[in-house]
Amino acid sequence: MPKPVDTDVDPVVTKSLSVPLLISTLILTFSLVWAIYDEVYVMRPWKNFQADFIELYSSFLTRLKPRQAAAEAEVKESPEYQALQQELDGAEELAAQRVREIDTVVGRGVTPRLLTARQTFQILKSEIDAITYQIETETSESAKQSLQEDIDKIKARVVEVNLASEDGSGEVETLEMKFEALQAEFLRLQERRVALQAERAKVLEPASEIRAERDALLANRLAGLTAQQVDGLVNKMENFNIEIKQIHLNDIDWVDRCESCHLGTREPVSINAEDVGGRAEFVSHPSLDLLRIHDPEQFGCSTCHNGNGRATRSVVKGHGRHKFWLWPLWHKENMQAGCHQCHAREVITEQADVLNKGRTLFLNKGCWGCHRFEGFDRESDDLAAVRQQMKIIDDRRNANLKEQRESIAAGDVVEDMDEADTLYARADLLSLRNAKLDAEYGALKVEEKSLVLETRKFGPNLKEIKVKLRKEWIPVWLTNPHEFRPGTKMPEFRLLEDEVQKISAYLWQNGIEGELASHPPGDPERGKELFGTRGCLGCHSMGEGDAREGGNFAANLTRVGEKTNYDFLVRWINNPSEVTPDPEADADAPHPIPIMPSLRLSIDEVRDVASYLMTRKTDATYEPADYMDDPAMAEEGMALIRHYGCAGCHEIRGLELEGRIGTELTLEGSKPVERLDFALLTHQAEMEGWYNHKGFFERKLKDPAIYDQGKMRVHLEKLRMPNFHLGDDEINALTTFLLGAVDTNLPAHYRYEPEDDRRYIQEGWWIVRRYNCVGCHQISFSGQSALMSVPLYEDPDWQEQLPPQLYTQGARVQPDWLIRFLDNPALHETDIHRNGMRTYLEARMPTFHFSERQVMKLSRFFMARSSQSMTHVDPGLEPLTAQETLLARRLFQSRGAPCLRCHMTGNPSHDRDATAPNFLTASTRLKPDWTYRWMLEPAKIAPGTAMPSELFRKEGDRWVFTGPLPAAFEGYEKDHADLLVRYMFQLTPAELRRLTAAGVQ
Amino acid sequence: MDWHQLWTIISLPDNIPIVGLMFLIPFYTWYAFRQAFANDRLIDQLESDPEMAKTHHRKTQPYQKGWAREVHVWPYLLRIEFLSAIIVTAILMVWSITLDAPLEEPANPTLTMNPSKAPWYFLGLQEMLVYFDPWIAGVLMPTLIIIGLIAIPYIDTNPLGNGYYTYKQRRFAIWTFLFGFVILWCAMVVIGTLIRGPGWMWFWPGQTWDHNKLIFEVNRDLHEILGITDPILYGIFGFLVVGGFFLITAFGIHKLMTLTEFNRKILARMTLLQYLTMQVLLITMIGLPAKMAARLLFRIKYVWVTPWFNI
Repeated sequence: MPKPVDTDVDPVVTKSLSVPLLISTLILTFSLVWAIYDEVYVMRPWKNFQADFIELYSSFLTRLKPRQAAAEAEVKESPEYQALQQELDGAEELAAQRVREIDTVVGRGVTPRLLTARQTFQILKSEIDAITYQIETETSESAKQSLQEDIDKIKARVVEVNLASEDGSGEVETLEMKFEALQAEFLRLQERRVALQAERAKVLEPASEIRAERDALLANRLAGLTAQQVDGLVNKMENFNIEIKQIHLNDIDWVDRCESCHLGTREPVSINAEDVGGRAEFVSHPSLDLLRIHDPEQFGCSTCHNGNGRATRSVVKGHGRHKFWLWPLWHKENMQAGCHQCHAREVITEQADVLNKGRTLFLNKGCWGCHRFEGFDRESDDLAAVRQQMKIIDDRRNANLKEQRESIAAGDVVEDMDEADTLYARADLLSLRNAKLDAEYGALKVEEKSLVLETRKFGPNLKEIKVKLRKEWIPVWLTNPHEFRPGTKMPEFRLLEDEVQKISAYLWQNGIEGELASHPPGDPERGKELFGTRGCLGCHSMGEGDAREGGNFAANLTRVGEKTNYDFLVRWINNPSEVTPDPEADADAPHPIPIMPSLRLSIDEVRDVASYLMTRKTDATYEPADYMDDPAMAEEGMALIRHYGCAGCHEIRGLELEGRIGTELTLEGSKPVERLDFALLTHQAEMEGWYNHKGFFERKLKDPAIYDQGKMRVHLEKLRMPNFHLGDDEINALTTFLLGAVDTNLPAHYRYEPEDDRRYIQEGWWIVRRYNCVGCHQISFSGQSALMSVPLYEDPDWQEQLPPQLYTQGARVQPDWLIRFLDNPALHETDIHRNGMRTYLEARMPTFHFSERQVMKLSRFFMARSSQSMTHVDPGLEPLTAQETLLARRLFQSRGAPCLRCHMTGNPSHDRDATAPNFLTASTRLKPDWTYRWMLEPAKIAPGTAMPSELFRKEGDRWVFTGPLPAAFEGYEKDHADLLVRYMFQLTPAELRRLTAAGVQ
Repeated sequence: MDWHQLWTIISLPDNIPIVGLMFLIPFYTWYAFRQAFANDRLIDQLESDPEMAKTHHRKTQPYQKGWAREVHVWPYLLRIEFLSAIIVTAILMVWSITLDAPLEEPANPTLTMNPSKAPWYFLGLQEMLVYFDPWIAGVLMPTLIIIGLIAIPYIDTNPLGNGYYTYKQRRFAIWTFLFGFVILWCAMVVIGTLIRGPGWMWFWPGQTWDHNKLIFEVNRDLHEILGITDPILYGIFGFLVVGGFFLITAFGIHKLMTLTEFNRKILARMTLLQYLTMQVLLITMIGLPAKMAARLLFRIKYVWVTPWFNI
């Protein structure tokens, strides 16, 4: 039975909703409170970061202060500081009397009087000024007149002025003055005050100078901040405002709020994580040096580092490590990727070692053979551009000529003389224009000539295959180059056995037939020695595994004897530019210069080295490869070569015009991730968190076939990229480089594209890297040359045999000399089997057969690196007096300065053991100011040099020889180092003979 | 079963309304029916006892002697609405605190996202694009939907069922609504959200959304299946088929309209214009699932192919 309804009460009218209303209102209130809390704290996590930072950093500073104070005290107790302090005290005392006087006069007399005068003066002046304005704007002449009279009335008014007395007694005198008199008094007082203040500054000047010197000394000696500066920081923390810290770049409307959490970034103290309780987000920027060049106020943070500079809601969002943020913060190991977007022109960017390594790998592993990348293989790009330009100029020239002819013809027949003149003038103008175009064309023609020589493919020329290689070796090599020669640049293609055979057949049958001159065998023992000492190891390596020594720029020659023949090796080593004549090609056509330079060995030496290299082999056996002569195989081979893109790196007959088969990588870093083909690994990548560019590149480089995984594809449809067997650090470097290869949205003025000398540095590095100058020379302080790692050169005796360091090459040598030297390092037309400069070095500066353009670029590079101009002006050294010549000669022969013991003299028996160049070359080769600095502090310019330091000591304003001085020097007041420089630059062969004849006394 | 994938889809802030919709619509449908059936029982009771109707109830609400026959909107209705407003506000607050606006990456004009989906409330339209030409699915049909919604009050001649839930008195309207809104509109929204993956391909819940998935799908026009090659012939043929569909469906609907005494009464109240408008709208509505079935079950692309339009 249903419950009886209470008939008296209408539920609609009487039922109370209080409880549900109360509950829902409470819920609403709670959600409101939650919303406010969310808004204030949850959405602004940087507030907590800032609070933590204030606490941690303040406590760090408090701990730091006593340390810095102690260090500061130590510096302050040093005799130099004390001496300066005393000097300062003295100077201050000297000035104190006059300063006090001035202060009294100004403070008690002049200033109070000036202030009292100003009161009345200003009232009158403003009255006059107001009327003057009225006069200026009044239009009626009569009104102007009456206003002028008003002014005159004011000026005639006699006012009572209370002026403080000028003697400083504090008394007030009451004067009756007119406006003019008051103005004169006021101006006089002003002038007097200025004059006194100027005098005060002048009196204090010596003291200020000494103080600046003292403070500079403190700053130099003290690592870090002074206690006072630390106090300043503590103070700053006490007054710290918790707020968004934002950098706004106006020109690109870029906003970075990174420093809202990363508060220590720009602090002047170096903060490590352990200083601030292990909080890595508070450390200071690791390279403040870098920040100085790229001031965050002008460059922002996320421009380089990526990440979402505007986001402040969470770490993930701020760092942009978010599916929907296209520019996530670079991972630590790829941080330098950010450099490339603005430094895209460079192969070497300072302080970006990982990125540089990536670019260098891209250059020297030949990635650009298949993948176009703007800037790499620039010679062929430039060549195309130059030819295009030449064509345009030619067309314009022809058009001008045609118009010129027409103008003249028209002028000849026209009747009106004026019109004829106009037409002839037009013809004249066109001929002038053509003259200019002719000049431009000529310049381009020269450039084209250079470029033709420079443009070459990455790998060896395979047209030479028949004269160069052992036939049976080719298929073995193609199967897996890394098995024959671990670490070789030739990558491993995933070729089937029949593909190897077909490709070998095509290559073999398309080799040029040629005769090699036959050579008698040389001495392998001597060859081995030459190989180790002439500098071959700067690029090539020998030995495998732990026994490997030498550079990794060129081939490892451990098994070279198995692949080639003796006569070819002799030809190749003797002159790498020599090629077998190609009957199909134009005999006069320039052919590209190989990277391998000529070491200018004598033919005997060449035979020795070749004989040695021919002994470098194992007893591996090679299967006969008769199929390589089968034309049918070759025909199929051609299609395969085209498919695998061999012609991207090698010159192959019949395939000269093949293009690159890989995708262009110039902007690969900004390619949408959807366009990177993860294939069947897409989902796995998403799950494992590597569905991004970094993940793609790393895995692709590690195993280029990885995205074929699980795919059912016929062999020729599979991915073609070969395996380079890269190490993990190499993969990381290349990944960094590719990540940085982005289409930057920063405007041009952010990009580092200088048009001045710095551009020469950018361009020069390309040649330096391409030709591996760094294999033998140290060009930057951080770089080690390959030769330095060869065990032989670790022996102290052999260290002097290392090729010269080139840090300051531009400051050292004259540009003209450098051009001559790079063009022909023998510095001689016929006597070439030696070094041109340092004949005592076993290692030989090779002849690279640089094109004119390259020589200029390299010279400019060295000059620009040392901030030198390409034009050398002879500084016009003061000629030596007869007495000075005598003195210098004495000094040269002195026991304390045995210059000629190490420096070459031209005497063959002496020069064999010399370790430094001949003085006779100084005047044409060196720059006097560098030579002067070199003599004073050689170790600063070239650390580890054999040239002794501290030959001179400072005595007043001049440098004096440290060793025992010959008696004749008594009374000689000039600089000794300068004397020697002048002597050196004016040295004649006769004088040198005289020196050597006399020997050391 | 790819739980990760499933979770990714349903946890997307964009898809929260859809997931809510999947539960809320059945619930409220059930709830409305419950109330409607209760009222229907009451109506039966009151119809059998007219005296009771005078004293026992006000409309379908229980009624007692001594109660006011009508009550004021304020405060008795508005306080309930106020309560609802508070609860909804609280829900929206919590929702907006916990779930951010589902913004994605900056638009890239050279790269279309895949799958690229319309806002959730338009997914039904997008799904229709699979079955019809864009101008039909994107222009004609939406226009008809709007016209149809506007026309409802003018077509509806049934005076009953205003202001209370009832099934018995509005069967036709309720079924039309359930079919048009719940089955066609909401179900297609759910399909568009949860089922359609990259390439607008069909992925069952829990199947991995794989961009590389390839499916074998060959759709042919009806006349191709039947081997009619002449354009004029198959144009006429298509017209006949579509016309036939209209006639048969119209006949079916007419059968429904004359099925019961109640329906016949309603029909009698309608003018010819009202009746024809209703027929056209209903046939078009039924046309959608018919075409879907033809496509999904028989792989028929178009029924009627002309140089100007395809259906």
